[in-house]
Amino acid sequence: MRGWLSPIAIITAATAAYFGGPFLRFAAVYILGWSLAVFGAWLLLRYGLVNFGIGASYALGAYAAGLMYRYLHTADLAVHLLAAVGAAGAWGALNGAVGIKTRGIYYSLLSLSLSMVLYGVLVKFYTVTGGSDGLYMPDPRLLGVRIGTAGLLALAALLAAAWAALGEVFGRSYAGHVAAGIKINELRTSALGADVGRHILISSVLASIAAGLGGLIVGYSTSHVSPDFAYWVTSGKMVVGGLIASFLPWTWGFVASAALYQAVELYSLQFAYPELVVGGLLLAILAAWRLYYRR
Amino acid sequence: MSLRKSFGGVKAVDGVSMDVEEGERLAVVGPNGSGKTTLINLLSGLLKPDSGDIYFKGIRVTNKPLHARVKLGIARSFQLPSLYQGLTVRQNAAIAVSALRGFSLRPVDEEDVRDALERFGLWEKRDLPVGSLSEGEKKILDIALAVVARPKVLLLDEPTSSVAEENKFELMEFVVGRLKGVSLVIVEHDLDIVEAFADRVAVMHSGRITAVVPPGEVRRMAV
Ligand SMILES: Nc1ncnc2c1ncn2[C@@H]1O[C@H](COP(=O)(O)OP(=O)(O)O)[C@@H](O)[C@H]1O
Ligand SMILES: [Mg+2]
Repeated sequence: MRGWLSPIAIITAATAAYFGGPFLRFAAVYILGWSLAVFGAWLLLRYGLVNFGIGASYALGAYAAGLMYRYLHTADLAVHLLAAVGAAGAWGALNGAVGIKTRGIYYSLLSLSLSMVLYGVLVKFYTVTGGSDGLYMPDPRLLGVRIGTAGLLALAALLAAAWAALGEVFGRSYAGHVAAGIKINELRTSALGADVGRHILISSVLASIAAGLGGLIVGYSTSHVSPDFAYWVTSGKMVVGGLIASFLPWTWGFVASAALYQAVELYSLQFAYPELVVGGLLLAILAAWRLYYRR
Repeated sequence: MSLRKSFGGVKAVDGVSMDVEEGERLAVVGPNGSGKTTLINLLSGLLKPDSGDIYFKGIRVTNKPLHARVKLGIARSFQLPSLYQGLTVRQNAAIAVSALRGFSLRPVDEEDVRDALERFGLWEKRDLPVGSLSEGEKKILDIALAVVARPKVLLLDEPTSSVAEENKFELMEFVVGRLKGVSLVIVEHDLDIVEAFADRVAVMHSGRITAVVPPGEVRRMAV
């Protein structure tokens, strides 16, 4: 039963948002999409890996669908999902394989560099990717029918619930315990028989797929994807989200963290220097949690 | 065989050849810096030798990584207990159980965790953070974690160091009594312990094994 708590909490919150009017509906889709990228960052943090390039996966999920529409003229949801999972999964495998021997700040810098290479490609190859203007994202269709706002909200909620369920399972699993071992004492964990590289590679792929699906949802919600999705500042925000989620005691913390962050960012827009407000509030939140858990 | 390993100019292990028989308890003695830990690191796969080969049951394991050797049956403990700080005894054992499973999303089998701890009398301490254990208990837990893999050879690097003098003998009796049939390579300073628990003694000096003697003769060697 305990394992179902997180998916149920997410579905319930999404249902409430549906009845809360158009703004809440849009906000819920956006937050749930964003939360999947936060989940990716959070999963890698379980291994002690700070991925400052997770935005690349987020971008690839959306671009994969945008390119499908632009070149194959298909808005079919199943095709888009497959393309997003394939592109983000392949990217996760690349990131995992390249980063398999790097840890700490070197891993962070390497993942950041890879994402900025992708960012550069997205900006430079205007004719293919739409350059800095990005690409149009169509309303997805399921069996030929537009899924609409309600359908998109349902899709976002189902995806977030599915990843939350995976998070619950992971926490109690052999793999989750190995992650904790790798984070605290990697050498000891290999001396106990764990193939550390394999664990990190698999989780890199999973994290990247989660983030890619998140980008797809957010792209749908704004009908648009741009290279900003892959920009390192975007990744940084996701990492902060993952950190906050890792301080929260529930697996659905990644959604709570995403909601919190988006609320703070929205609130900050009324000020002259929104970045300062966001930064200050996030620092305050982190400090408060640290103090709370020290007791 | 004839293993060699240098760090810069230091020849830490300088041409060692030896065998360990099935079920045998081989002690390795020698002054500080003579290369005992480096030898254990080479055998366990923590370090790659500059030259030489390592065979286990006829299989060449020289290039096999640490985790692959564990699965074949070579496990090790650490000179300074290498535990997961901040976690409980139970969580430490759960990680050891999980490390053998690959990337599996199945829930950890609590029976396995319990077996691992009960075998070494640590089940009652399961909810304590490892930091609150005594030095002896830390040493025992470190070995208990290694034993989860059911090794055929267990490499023990100074299992009694940092344990109070009067408790060393008792600790070894406790540990060795629970490792029947497992080949042991024991790095040890205390000659009383070597005499009581080893079948053979290898004396190391400046990276070389200078003599292999029965335990009764080790006192006559200049160590
Ligand atoms: N990682 C290392 N880097 C450089 N020198 C090392 C390293 N490990 C051991 N040594 C050197 O190798 C020699 C053997 O060390 P070690 O195997 O730890 O000896 P023992 O365990 O017998 O005390 C020493 O001179 C030590 O300083
Ligand atoms: Mg030593």
